[in-house]
Amino acid sequence: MGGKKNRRARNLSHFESNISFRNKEAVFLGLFKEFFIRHAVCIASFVQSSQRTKAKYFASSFKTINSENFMNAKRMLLNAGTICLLATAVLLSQSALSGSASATPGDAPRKADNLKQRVKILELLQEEDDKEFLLVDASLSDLNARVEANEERCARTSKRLVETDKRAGRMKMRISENQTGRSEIRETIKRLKADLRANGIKLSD
Amino acid sequence: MKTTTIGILFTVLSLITFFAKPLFINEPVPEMLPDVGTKIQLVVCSATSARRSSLRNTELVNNIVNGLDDDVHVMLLVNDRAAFKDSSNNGRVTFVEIPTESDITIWPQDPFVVVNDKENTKLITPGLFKRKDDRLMATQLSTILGIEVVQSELLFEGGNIVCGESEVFIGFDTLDINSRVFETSIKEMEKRFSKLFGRTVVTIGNQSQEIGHIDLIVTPLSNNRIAVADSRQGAEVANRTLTQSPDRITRFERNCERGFFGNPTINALVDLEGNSIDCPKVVGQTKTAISDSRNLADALDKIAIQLSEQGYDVIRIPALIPNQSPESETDENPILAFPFMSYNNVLTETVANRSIVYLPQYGIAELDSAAIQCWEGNGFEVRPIEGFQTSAMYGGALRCCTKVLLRE
Repeated sequence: MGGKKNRRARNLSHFESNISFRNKEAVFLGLFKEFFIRHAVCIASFVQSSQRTKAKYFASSFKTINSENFMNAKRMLLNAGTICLLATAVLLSQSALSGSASATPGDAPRKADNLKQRVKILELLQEEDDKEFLLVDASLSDLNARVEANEERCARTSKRLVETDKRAGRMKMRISENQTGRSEIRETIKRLKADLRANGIKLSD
Repeated sequence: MKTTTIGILFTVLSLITFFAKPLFINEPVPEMLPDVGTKIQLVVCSATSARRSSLRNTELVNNIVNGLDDDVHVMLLVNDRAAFKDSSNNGRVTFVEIPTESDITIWPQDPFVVVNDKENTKLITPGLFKRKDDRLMATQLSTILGIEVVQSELLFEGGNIVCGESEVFIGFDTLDINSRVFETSIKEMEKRFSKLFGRTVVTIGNQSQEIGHIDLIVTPLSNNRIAVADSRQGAEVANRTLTQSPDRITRFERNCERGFFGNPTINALVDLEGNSIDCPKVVGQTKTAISDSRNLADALDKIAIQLSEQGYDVIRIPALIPNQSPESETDENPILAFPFMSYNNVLTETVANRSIVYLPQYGIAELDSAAIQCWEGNGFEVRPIEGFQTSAMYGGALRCCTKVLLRE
């Protein structure tokens, strides 16, 4: 049970670690994957073409050293260019993703602080000769209605109290009547017992 | 061979760029908006009408709006817009309507916490907030201001969290209740709150709190300073006034009673559920409050010592604190009697190297003045805001009534 609770706590704590970047990782990984695949294809085709070129080189051994050097230099330049291009692309993609990572769902602002902009708008709306702010609670007069309601309630309560008091009085009377009746019955029984004993009938106490 | 070389180079470069990313790209980390710092620009208050609430606060809202600087904009939450008429020549206040059928309090400080980074402002709400319909405050504000509301699973009330320049101070009770709910240690909860608010957490106290919300007794300031309430000092000032000018104290007590329902002739009202609310008895209670305040002093001293030991420069501000013992509180008789006179429940800002404090005033002139002097003695320019005695009878003052959303 405790474990279940902990698991729940862990799941719930997801927000805390992702307070502003909760969509970031998914987006980043998705784009990075796409980027990687695209470049893997690019590299594969480059490797194929370079292999084909290599085969050609092996087939004809009569090429001059100068032309070989030139081709090697060209290839190296091409490789270096590709690597630089890749690195630049990775850096660019990450910096671009950083912008969208801090974006939040809903109407929340994307880049500039929307709140600041809104405050600026509010300030513009504000007249320069603004005087003292005066808020009036027109419902203060309604307090009388609330007081009346309270008084009505009090009157109802006191009426109920009077009724309860009367009922209590009646109950008291009934109790005393019952008590009187009980003592009368007791006296009658006593008399009956005495009469029976007088007539020679044995009775238990 | 070359294929392998290119592959390895590509992988190495990718790894380097991935791990080196933080060096090139500065990701904004959301942090709790501090209670200290630059000029206040946007705040939230809440106004309740006489016909909808026992604690109506129109006059107090006027005092707050006019007491703050002219260029502070106020978002005013109302659930009974029709009840209010406002001066049409003022553009400082924007009404934010909460659905009429809902019931809100005058305390927007509690149901959410403001965090921001360099780009965005967000409101973080607790996993659960059950006081009236105050949870709607954040959602309505987000609709009007276009800011995001994010619900955390953690439990908290804004009043028990105050934020300094770099740390966030949280009352022990908040961490304790969360540690019980999530079955983890206080230390772990500190880490989680730290992650949530983007700042190091300092727990105030190490046992159940004597005072429900720390913003009534602890005020973070700039330059590693922190103000802690001194209820002994407050009790002494009040006692001196009681001895020397008892009439003043009686006048204050009568004012509290008279102002409670906004109409001196009213002694009782019915609430929305039909329960009767009686005007609390304040007359003759100052003496008891002084005694209670003295009893609380040791607990506050402990907090001051704790913060001092942690390296903060602690200053003490007088306060008069009535009994906070929950034993005396029942459904029929909640604790709303003698005002909680806190001079720590304030708003502060720094403008052009001037430290400014907006200070609530309660109506015992000697105590109010002692607090002003104390703040001034610590280098603050004091802007007193009158009329907090009634709200203080419910246990809240300026910070409780006013949530800062944006600083310059």
